[in-house]
Amino acid sequence: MPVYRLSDITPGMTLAQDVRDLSGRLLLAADSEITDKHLRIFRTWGISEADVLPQQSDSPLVAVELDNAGTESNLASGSDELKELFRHCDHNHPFIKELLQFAQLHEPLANGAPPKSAGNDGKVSL
Amino acid sequence: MSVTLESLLANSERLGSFPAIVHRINDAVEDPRFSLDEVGQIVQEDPVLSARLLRIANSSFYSQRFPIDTIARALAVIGTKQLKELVTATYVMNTFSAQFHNDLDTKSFWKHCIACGVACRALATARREANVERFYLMGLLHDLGKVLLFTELGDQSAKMLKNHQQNGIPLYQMERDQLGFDHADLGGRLLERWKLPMEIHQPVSYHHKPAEDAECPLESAILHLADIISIGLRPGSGGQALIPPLNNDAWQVLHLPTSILPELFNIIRLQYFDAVAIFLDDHAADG
Repeated sequence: MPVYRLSDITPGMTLAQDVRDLSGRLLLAADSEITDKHLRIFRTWGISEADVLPQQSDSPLVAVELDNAGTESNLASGSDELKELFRHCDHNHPFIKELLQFAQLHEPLANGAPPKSAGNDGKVSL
Repeated sequence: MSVTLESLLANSERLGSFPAIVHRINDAVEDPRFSLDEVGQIVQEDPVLSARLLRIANSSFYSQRFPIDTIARALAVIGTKQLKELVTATYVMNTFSAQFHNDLDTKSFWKHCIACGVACRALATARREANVERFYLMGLLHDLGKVLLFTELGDQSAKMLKNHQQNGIPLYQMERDQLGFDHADLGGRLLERWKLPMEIHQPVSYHHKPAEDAECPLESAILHLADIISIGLRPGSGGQALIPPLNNDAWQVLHLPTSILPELFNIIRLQYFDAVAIFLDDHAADG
């Protein structure tokens, strides 16, 4: 289960583990949906991170990529090319499975860099 | 007269040689009497190299929070030990491309190599290796043997490539059958001739048979997997090689959990675009 910094947690996420303050008092139980109010409470109590359930887009990087993921028609033509490229691969091997899946979800590198979002010069922000 | 590995190596002189500044930088880095400042001063003699180092230091390779605007800071971030690899990478691409065979799509070739370099670097980072730039260099240079073969053999090489695309027979298999050696062997020997360290040239020789590399099993495994990743992510414009068979031993040696792969591939994607902008498109933005 990923541990997120407080600044990366948004309302609507679900806790994977209890959040307690320094003295062990329960602030919010696992499986609860996090609200704005909870986030304020966490900040007040000096909580810096929490264990949340995996999201559909699990990192800021993936969020950018999903914008650029193939449309249905792109994927259809892309998948012919991919079938060919992966022709001699063992599709059951875990590494090949992951690579093929990733390649199916993303445009080929040849199509160029994804558009940069406003207010961010494209660099990974810490 | 039949072609031998040795005769091809002898002809590699035609590809060109490293300019003097590369040797001066390498010597200065190795010499404990040279300070970081003095190394920086040599670098600054070449404005193209200086600009490139600054761009690298400011790219996703290093994820710095504040912009780096001096060579001294760039060197402090990159480190002198890694400088050698980046300098070599810069000059190989600039100096040798000019001599490639006319029919070779140079840009496409380097894009695959850059993708491989970035993938090597990312895998090494995931394994927490020190000095990850040497992995970048290794990936960048791994297919130079192909270039040399194409440049020297022309038609024969083109036929093998066509056969590979139509029938899926691995290129290295045909090369071994027809020539007695393959582009990996040739590439590794070329890098050895250029006096690159064993951890770089040996894995290149073994990248299609990584399990046989006794001295650098991790480097060979990384290069083998990075090659596969770099083809799977499709940097080229089509008509390229198929993904070679995966050697499962290499995957085992790497010892990385499958769960990190999606994030790793994402990082490779981002760094690939940065690297292409820095190493390939110096003059204009390209798609």
